[in-house]
Amino acid sequence: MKTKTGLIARLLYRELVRDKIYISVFIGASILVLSTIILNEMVVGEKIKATKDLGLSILNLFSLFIVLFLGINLITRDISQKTLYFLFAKPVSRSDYLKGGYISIILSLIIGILLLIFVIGTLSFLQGEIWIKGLLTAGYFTFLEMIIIVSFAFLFSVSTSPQLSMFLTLLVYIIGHSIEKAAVIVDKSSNLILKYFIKFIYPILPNLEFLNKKTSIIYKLDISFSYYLQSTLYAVSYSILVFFIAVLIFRNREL
Amino acid sequence: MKLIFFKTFIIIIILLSIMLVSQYYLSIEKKIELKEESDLYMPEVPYLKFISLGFDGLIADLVLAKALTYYGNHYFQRNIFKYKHLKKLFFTAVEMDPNNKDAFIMGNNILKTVDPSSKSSIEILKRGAFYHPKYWKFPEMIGFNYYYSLDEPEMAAKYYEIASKQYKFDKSVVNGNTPSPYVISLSGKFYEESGKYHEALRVLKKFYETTRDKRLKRNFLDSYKRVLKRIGLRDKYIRENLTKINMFIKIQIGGF
Repeated sequence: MKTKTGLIARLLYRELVRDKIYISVFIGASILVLSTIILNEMVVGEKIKATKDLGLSILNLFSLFIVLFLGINLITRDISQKTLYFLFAKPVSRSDYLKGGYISIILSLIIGILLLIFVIGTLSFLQGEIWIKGLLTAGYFTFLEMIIIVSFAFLFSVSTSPQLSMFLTLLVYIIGHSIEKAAVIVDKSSNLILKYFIKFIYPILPNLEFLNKKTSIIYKLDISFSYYLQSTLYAVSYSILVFFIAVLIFRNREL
Repeated sequence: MKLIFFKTFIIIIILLSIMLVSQYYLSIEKKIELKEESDLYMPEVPYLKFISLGFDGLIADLVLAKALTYYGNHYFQRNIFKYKHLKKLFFTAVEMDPNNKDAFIMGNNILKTVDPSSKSSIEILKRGAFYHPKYWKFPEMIGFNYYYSLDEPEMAAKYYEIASKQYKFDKSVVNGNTPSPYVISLSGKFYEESGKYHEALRVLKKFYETTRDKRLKRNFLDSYKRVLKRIGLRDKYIRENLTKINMFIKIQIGGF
């Protein structure tokens, strides 16, 4: 980590840790996870299923929270506080800065996911089930999903205002999870313009449902090795592509 | 200083009293509102899946919990409300997460208490059988409902026969996921009861030939003989009363 990117990543990561995001994630996740006790009271049958459902949803939502909060704040804060002027006065390129930022967010995300896995795992352990493999798989797929969202957060934060980039990143998350079902619904519709529009944008927009394996994890259904491989390739290539566009925009942007 | 503290204390007490009194009246108002069945704003399953953002399992759990609390809340007013939304809630829960077999079973058990004809229960179990074709309990429960609630032994026999297809004759693979031999016997019995003797014989013969269990073989053979005897008796009755039957048919046709 002695390259320029590595140094920037380390610097930015320290700054992110100072935001005390982990403490808020830990407290929030703990409160939400404890709410499973209430949900379990209402569920008849396999109670651990409700815990798992809620746990995986918390894992996903809090990872999104980390990405939205850190991913957008990082660049916009550096721009508004004029930190970038000092940084770019030194022999550091804009792409180095973005790469460093990206790595620092990914690092924060990994630690955040591990923290959430620990909280959810502890709760399921207290309910009598040791649930490690499923949680790690869920963590992996959440990570893949979030690296795409981080790239979009970077893309929007280098090109728009913080509020708008927050909104647009959230929109990408929503669209990513509903585009597949929207395509099914629109396919039955008689509106040809809408049908062709969805067909056109379907391959361009990220399909985050490819990385949503909650059902398979909860019901212990097999996920093939090829699926792991394909989803990893999909997420990594997509995020690199979006990140590359973000770098291109950032290079030409007036600070 | 003391005066300020006293004033603040009095203001807090007044505000707290207002809050508690208004809370009390609001709770009464809410109870009055409950006397009328409210509408259920639940989107259809494809649209619900569309807006669920991949949290289908969690939403299914919440809808299932809602169905159960709805059932509990309306239990003492069941004659007034007739559980208007219960069926929709259960169907939404199972369609949102079809992997949850417990939800189908729960839906069957509760919907049966609401609809004694068991039609809704059969409907939800048929969805379960569609999603889990290798799970024997769903067709077995459908058969049970057809026989005991709808009094249709032929349909019951058909579903018991479907359930019995999951029976493992090789004892080394027998586990909790395979039906008991009674499912096969009942399939034959219900065919017999509905007058479909040849169907009964087909089922019993098939399982007699497949099983290696001597006790089961003997039971199937006994049932087989009993059905054969009944066929014999029926044929004998027809032979003996052929003229009477023909006359009866003529009268019936003549009457028209």
